[in-house]
Amino acid sequence: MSNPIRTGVLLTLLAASAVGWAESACTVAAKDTFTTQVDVGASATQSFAGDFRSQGVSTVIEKHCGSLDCHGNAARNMKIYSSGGLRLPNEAGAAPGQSATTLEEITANYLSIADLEPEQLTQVRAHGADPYSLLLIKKPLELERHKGGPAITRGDDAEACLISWLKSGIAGAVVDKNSCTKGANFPSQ
Amino acid sequence: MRATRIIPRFFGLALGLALASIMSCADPEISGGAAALGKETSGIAKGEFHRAGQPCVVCHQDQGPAADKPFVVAGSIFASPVRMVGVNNAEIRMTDSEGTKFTTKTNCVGNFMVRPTQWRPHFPILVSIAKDNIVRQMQGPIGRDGSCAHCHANAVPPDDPFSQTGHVYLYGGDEPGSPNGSVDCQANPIAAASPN
Repeated sequence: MSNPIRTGVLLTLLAASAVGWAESACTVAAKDTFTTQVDVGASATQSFAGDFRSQGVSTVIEKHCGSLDCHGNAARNMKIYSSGGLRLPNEAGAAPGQSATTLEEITANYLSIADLEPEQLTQVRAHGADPYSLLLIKKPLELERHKGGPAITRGDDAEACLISWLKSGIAGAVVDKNSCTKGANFPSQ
Repeated sequence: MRATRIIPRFFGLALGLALASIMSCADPEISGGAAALGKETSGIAKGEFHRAGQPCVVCHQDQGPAADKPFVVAGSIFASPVRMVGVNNAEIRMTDSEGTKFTTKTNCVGNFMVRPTQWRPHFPILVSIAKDNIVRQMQGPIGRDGSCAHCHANAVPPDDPFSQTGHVYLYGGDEPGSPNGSVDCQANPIAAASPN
């Protein structure tokens, strides 16, 4: 093998290894979403993603936004997975309306939210920017046009839950779990 | 001389074609969705008894093939999760996001429809269905789509069981006393699939 060809082959192999390593690292990071600290806030003791699951924030979003004809739709942006709506493909065959929302689905919900406006979310979470500047809040409150109408009502528990979660990066602030529990009780006639 | 006669004719033809093209302009999503529903079932004329279990608002909306009869919410209530026997006189109780309430009833094939002249709800809508003392509440709200069958499919595709759920039903099995639906119904209360 001539030198230029040998060099080309070596470089290709090196690049392929680097890509493989990067993919592995990303996979590990995704799997550890709920066990590692998300470095977006001033408070080192809070886990943004962890609170999303453990404080019931995901459940509020699942109930208010995740119906099959809204964000529980495979063709829509900000896809939300839940037991009562769209399911992540699963080997157990759990369909809409069957079994509880899984950890993988909550993880996917978190990533849907985090990917919506990542820079603005960091500004709110880490630098105290106004949470009402986020589409996550503006849309369901209809502060900005929302085809699905008002998914949450101004002043209700769902709003309090989401705002407290978004502000929980500030030192001393915590997620309002009580509001999240009440906000997840939806729909209620 | 000849050219001066041909040019106005050509221009008129082009203008006519352009106008025809604009007037026949249809939303491909709506027309495609309507075509995908298949043809009318033989023996059931277009009307309140047709296409039970299908997504009504695909056609019954502005720009849809049945735009002259628009619905804001419409669907079908069946007795059982495994058979498509319509429930007659079932109540559909709805509350919209502003708290306004509207109740309607199914006809003898299980179909119901709400026209914008009757109620203009602000989505999302909470809904329950009832007959006699049996009440079923939908787990989640209707977010934006007026067709029950948009999410509640007659046949959930086997290659994608994760994004749709089965048709709406009131009982766990056949309706007590009416296993095959209303005997006085002008149409067969047992829904048939539309031919392609």
